[in-house]
Amino acid sequence: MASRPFDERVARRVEVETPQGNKLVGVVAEPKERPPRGVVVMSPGYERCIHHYAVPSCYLTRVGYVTFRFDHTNHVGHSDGEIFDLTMSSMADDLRSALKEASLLAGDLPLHLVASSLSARAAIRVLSQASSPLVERLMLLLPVVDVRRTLAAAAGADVVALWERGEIDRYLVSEHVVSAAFARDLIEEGYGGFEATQNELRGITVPVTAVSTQADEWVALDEVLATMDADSAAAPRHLVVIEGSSHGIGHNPPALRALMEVLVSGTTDQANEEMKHLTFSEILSIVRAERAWASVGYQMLRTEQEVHS
Amino acid sequence: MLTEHVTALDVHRTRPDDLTELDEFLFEGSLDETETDDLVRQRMAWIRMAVSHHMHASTYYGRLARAHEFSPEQLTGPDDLALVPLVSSGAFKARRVATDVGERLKLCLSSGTSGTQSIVPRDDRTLERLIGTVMFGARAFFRSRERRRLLVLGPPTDEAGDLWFSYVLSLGGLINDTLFFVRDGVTRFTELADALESADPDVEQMLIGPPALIVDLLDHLESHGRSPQLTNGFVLTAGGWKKRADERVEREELEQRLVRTLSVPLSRIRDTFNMVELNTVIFECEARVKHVPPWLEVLVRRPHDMSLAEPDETGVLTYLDPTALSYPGFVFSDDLGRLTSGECPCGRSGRFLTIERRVAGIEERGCALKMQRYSESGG
Repeated sequence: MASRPFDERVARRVEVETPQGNKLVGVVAEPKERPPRGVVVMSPGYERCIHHYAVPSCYLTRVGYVTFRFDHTNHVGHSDGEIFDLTMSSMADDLRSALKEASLLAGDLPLHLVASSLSARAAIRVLSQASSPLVERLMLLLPVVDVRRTLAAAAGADVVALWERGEIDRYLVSEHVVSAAFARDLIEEGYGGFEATQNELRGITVPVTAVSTQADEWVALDEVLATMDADSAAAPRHLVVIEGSSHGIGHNPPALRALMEVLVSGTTDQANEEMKHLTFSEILSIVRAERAWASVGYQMLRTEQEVHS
Repeated sequence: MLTEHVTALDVHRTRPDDLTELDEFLFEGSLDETETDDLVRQRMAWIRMAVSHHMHASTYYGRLARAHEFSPEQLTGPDDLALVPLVSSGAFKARRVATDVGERLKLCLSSGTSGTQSIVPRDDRTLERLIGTVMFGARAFFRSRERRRLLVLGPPTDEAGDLWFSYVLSLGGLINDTLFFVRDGVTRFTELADALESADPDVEQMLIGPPALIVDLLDHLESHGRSPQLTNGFVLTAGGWKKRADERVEREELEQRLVRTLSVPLSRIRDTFNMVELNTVIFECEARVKHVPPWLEVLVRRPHDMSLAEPDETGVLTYLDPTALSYPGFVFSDDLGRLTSGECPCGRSGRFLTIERRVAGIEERGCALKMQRYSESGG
């Protein structure tokens, strides 16, 4: 009988109050049949929510990790705020809150951070500013290293330049209108170009693995290479480039499987001995159930209970 | 003393073993339907590769190819694609057709409208590629977007079982938020009307279902005096009339009712085409023309002798679909239709499919026999 991913884990809803007074909603999933080997915080990218990381979460719980996924504030999903008010700073604040909550959850267990796309930039900022390592390992999935450039690619215009000229107070980025506060925060808080990212990454003292795609329409691979290839990095740096895929890797199953292999091996440091790919029907089951949970704000997970697909 | 560590970047490039050129095109490609020589050559290469795969890994297809004295090396030009041996629906009904891919298979069942069910085995990769064809079409004709909700007049996956049409409808949940309005065998029109009326205006609503249930929905809405607005949404019909063929209404009449009752623009009422033996879903553009996707070869054959029809001549539709791995996707259909090419009113150029009607009656029996003979005796 095929294994059912939901039989392998227990999921519960969590709420975290951020120092800014916002409610951050998350889902913690724990392996049911084995003691956990660590905790992985999963930070979503732009226009991405908890349920978009259901499949990676299942891969990680399957090899023994507790995963903590959350929705950013001032974003899509169930945390407070609207995406109109999104800024890189609010993303970074969310990450700090999520990491603090996860460290309580982890106790003595290793804590890892997996940050995707735009949130990867926020993760680099947060970890570079920490006085001591917040995590044992950082994974950056399809990291945005030059926010201004990616924003321009997604919006079809140099939004920062338009804002600087006073021509806009809001702009459509992909499927949502974001206020000019995003551009203002970008400049004022120094998120700028990839050189800033490179400098901050240099100061992160834990191993960092980044996964990029060859044909990413939103992120220049040579900038990722340059960002990661920082001399005097204080800890190992790995970059995996998946060929034949673009930024929306979720719609490319073979590339997604390759990404999952890197995710598992990158956190376990092992040669994927435990790795077993999810089947089509398992993925269908997971995605369907998680979308159903998301539609009611994960309220059905409010109490600690077994979840069956 | 602070020691500065210098760490070299370790870079590893990888291309997934199971990401072929065809997969990359399906999952990442875009529609540029100009039938360039390159595109035609690429399609032929994909089909040649698929034929070779099935000849070696399918006992049935290998035997069929030998009976036709066929080898992939014969495919030197686009006209040679007509040499590819085709599998008749009778073979699928007799459960003889599968290609060994070494994995668990989902047995996909037709609705059995014609009396017996076809059984088509699909492995995970074949199912992934089916989704790939859907997402390719979505990118081409609907713009991929997260802020879309599918309202499906069909059951969810766990109730759909192995019935192919219902199963395919249920796969929408992989792509977008989806609600299903056939549950526990009951079609829930009031619930669907409520969902339409309470829909978030910033989320595009896409109503999908067989035309018979769409008509039933309209009957329900009109009899209850409800007319939810689907101005910014879509209506996709799928699956044809099947066992309710005697209730069939003309497309124009259905569209007029949809425009009147749901206020959906005509350009947003689209039909889709698929059949259990075909691993590709074919979509219509805003001009309501069915565009044949670049990897799929459609050959039209005259019913009386299975010779190739001229462009725009009506005949039996046959397909060469290289996306199927666990069964040979080189099939006869039970449909009569035409293939044309050129420039579509939507502005895209390419190849266009018109499905006219099912092969029926005496014609059906004779045609089926010819297809069987053509398929199994080497022409």
